[in-house]
Amino acid sequence: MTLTSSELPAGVHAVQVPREIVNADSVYVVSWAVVEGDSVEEGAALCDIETSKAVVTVEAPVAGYARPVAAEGDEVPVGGLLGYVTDRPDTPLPSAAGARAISSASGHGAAEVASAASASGAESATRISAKAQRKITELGLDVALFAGRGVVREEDVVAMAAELHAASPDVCAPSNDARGPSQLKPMGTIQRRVARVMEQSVAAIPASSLERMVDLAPVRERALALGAERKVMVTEVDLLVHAVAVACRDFPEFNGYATADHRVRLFEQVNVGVAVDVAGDLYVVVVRDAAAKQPEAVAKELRGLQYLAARQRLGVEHLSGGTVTVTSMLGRGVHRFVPIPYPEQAAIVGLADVEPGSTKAALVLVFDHRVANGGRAAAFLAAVAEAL
Amino acid sequence: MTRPVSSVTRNVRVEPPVLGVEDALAKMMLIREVEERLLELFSAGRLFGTTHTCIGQETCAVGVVGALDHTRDVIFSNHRCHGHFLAYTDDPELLLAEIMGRVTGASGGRGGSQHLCERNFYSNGIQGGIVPVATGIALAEQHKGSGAVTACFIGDGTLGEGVVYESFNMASLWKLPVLYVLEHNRYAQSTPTTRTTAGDIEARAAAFGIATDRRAADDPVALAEHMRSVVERIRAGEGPFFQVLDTYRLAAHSKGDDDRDAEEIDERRRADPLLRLQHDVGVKTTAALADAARLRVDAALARAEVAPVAGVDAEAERAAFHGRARTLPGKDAFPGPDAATTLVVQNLNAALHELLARHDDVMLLGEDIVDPYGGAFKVSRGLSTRFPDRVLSTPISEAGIIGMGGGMSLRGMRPVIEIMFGDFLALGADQILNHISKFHWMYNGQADTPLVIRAPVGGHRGYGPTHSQSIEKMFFGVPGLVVVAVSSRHDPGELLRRAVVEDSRPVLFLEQKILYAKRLQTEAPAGMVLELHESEVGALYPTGVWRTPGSAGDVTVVTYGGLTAMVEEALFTNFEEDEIVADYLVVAQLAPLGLAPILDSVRRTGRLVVVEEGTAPWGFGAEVLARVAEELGSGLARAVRVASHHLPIPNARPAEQQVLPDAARIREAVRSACR
Repeated sequence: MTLTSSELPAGVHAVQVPREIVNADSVYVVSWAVVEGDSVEEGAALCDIETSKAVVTVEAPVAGYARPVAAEGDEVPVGGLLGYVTDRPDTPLPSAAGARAISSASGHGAAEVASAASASGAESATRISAKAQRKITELGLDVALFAGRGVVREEDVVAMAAELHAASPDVCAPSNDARGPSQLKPMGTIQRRVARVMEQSVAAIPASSLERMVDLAPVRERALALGAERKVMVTEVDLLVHAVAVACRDFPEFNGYATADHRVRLFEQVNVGVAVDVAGDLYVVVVRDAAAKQPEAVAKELRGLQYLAARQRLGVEHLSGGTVTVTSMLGRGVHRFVPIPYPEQAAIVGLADVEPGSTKAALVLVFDHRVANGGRAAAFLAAVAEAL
Repeated sequence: MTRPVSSVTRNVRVEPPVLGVEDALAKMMLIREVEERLLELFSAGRLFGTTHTCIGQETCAVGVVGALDHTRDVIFSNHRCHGHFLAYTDDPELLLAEIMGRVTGASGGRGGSQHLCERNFYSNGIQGGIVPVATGIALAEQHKGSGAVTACFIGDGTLGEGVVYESFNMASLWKLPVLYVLEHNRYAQSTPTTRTTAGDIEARAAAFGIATDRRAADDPVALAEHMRSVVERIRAGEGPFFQVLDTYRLAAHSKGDDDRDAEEIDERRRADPLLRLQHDVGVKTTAALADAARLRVDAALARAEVAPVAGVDAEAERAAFHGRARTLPGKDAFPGPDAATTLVVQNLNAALHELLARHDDVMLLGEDIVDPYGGAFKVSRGLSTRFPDRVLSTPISEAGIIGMGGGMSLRGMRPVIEIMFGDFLALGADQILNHISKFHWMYNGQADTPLVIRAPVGGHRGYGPTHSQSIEKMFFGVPGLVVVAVSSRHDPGELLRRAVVEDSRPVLFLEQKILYAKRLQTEAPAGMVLELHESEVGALYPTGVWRTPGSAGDVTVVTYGGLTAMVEEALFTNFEEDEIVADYLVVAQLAPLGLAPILDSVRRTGRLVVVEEGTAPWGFGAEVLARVAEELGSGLARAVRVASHHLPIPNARPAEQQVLPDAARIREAVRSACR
């Protein structure tokens, strides 16, 4: 549920979680850069939100006064309300009822779960204490389990966990586990998102993989030459990104995806996502319209994105809109790997060393077998190698 | 000669003819007969309580009252009021039955000697306190254009009361049709005027620009003629008049408490105006008049003696008190969703605009309330521009303006008095305690005082010891008074509207000043829903009960006024971190307090926390706890009060914060109640 501008009073602009964030249905509010009533310019940073892939800065849509609504730590759905920018510091805001309706968390951060039995609002609301909420997180339970249960205290969560364990011993680590004592730890928020994406992918995509050898020596030479000429650092991966983009022109089915009703969506523009590892967290930055760019331009862009990633300053525009993905295991002592394509993409192309000291490398394609068969995939991979 | 008295005709006296000597003497002799008979009855132990006779001063009563138009003029008298009353009503039975505590008395036996009410006649036993009330009556009659003159009787001893001068000042400023009659009998109870009164008596009124006259009250006919011209002058709009009448009280102040020089009294007895008049009309007429007076008093006493004695049924009284307020849907006293953006100050201001626009009998009095200033807290902003005749900035005279509001309300108006800081209510306490809150009951329901006294109260603003108090405690225990406190959980403007037009009882209407800049809270606190207890469904000022669905509640938390945000902050943490579910009650009508919603909640929770900003001893929390404990006994397992420390409120911010309650203390109190 979203607020449209027509529902808002004059002088009030809603700041919502951007819809462009793909593969995320909600975000966490990491921190606010402003406090209630701060004067902000258009485009000024308002708050950082954490998606599955990055901490993203949300900017002021217009100049005015910042009026945060979601609290730090709140989980807010895509399209949900983060706050407002108003034309005066005291412009009255829409009633909190509206705000709550579009935000999964209330102004106070109290978790409320609509009753499964009835949608009649507060009458059947569930009120979960912060203490209980922490326990739910700690035990990895689903908050929806408590829908319609009125007030939920920590003891109720423990009781629920015990109940679930009795029904299905896998939910919680049993105390008499033959494997000995264990600990149930929650995943980090980013890794949790990655986990969901991966589950989604594996569940939806019947993937197959192909691999061919390439010699990276000429590739490296070309990269060095380009770099020297353009005064920019160019890597094999940069060239691979460009090569995949170029190959996709002739093999458009790899720049699209199979829908559930067995049609294939083909994108006109090739936006290549590139997996970047920052301190163990996985981000996929996107080089837009990579086929139309020169390799050195692609390299320059990727350096910029890596810089932003390292400083956790990636924005929505840097992370969204990928149509095909490239990943690399070069330099990690790995000679073989099978990456997993992103949901709503048909192909991911990877690169790994074959053996230390050699210039030979393995070029891997994992593809959705629904959009193409082996022969066509082999031809695509050959085209990539050629372009490389 | 006097007319025969019957219950049907006694109220029908119209424009009096020019007072003749015999008529004047008959009235004076009736007064004398009643007063002397009362003293006899007291001596014989047949009367209870006290009385103040006017023996020797009858000329004043007959001369002044004889000059008034009894169909419209108003009389406000004091403790020594029998003569005035008889001159006005010509009905000894109403007076005697009243003093004898009979239901047929002027005030149904409730008021007694000093507290009489009959048509346009009122009396009250507080020196000076009646003067602003009478002045307010004059303001009301002036506003209504009735042409009525209000006569206010005081004594020389009354000149010691400051509120007299507040009244003189406003009467002169606004050219009010009021006649102040000072019966100078040379003694303030037992102390000679020379020891109590410095300077010049007439000059006191003259200094306010009030026309004055002083003369001896020895001839009722001449006095009546003089007073007639004075009354006509006032009626013509020439403003107030101060008449000093030199007279002498021949009997004791009350009963037998006379230490005056016996020779002085004897000398005065020989100069008794009554004797002179009797001499003038001759022995035969005098004897006939004496017989007539004696017979009338005999008959009146005989009838009064067989009348039922006044009694009190506390339960019926309570019901009658509540019956003076209309029943309206309690739920409408809470703000609707479209009020979400409204500040309390705007909400109250809008309500006052609407009240003035809709009701011609609503009038506002207060210090500095006229535009452009619009009141210290701007609640009255814009009102005087739209309604210049009904919004008056007053002198700094809290007792005076509260008393005037009382007088106006007695005459059918609905005054709203703004007191700049609640602390200043102390200056007007006599008016609230001894006049406004008592009139209705002690006059046996013959009068109403539907006035509203608005007052900002409370701290958090650094205004220091005399501008930050929660002074309402001083008024909680006053019978006849309703004390209402707004909160941002209620709709303050609607509460005010109800107090002004739906409630015929006097209402002390408290506005905690930190609320003014707050918005109305249209949405229930996190996880809670508003319920209205069945006892509050038709209440004008209902208690809001917020409960958490799906839980019986662990504790009942009661508050009022400006502390809601603080209490809700505490309760939020109490729930999130301490896992305590509270029933949360916000009271609007503090006194008399409807206990049912609190009681029902504590029946479930067994635990009670009361949060108030005032100090704890003898406070709101003390009353709530005591009554809940009386009702529930051991059903109340634990009770905690949160209040300010028992100190004046300091000025320095950190010190003020230490004295006043805060969210941390409230949270701790709730935790301790639940341990």
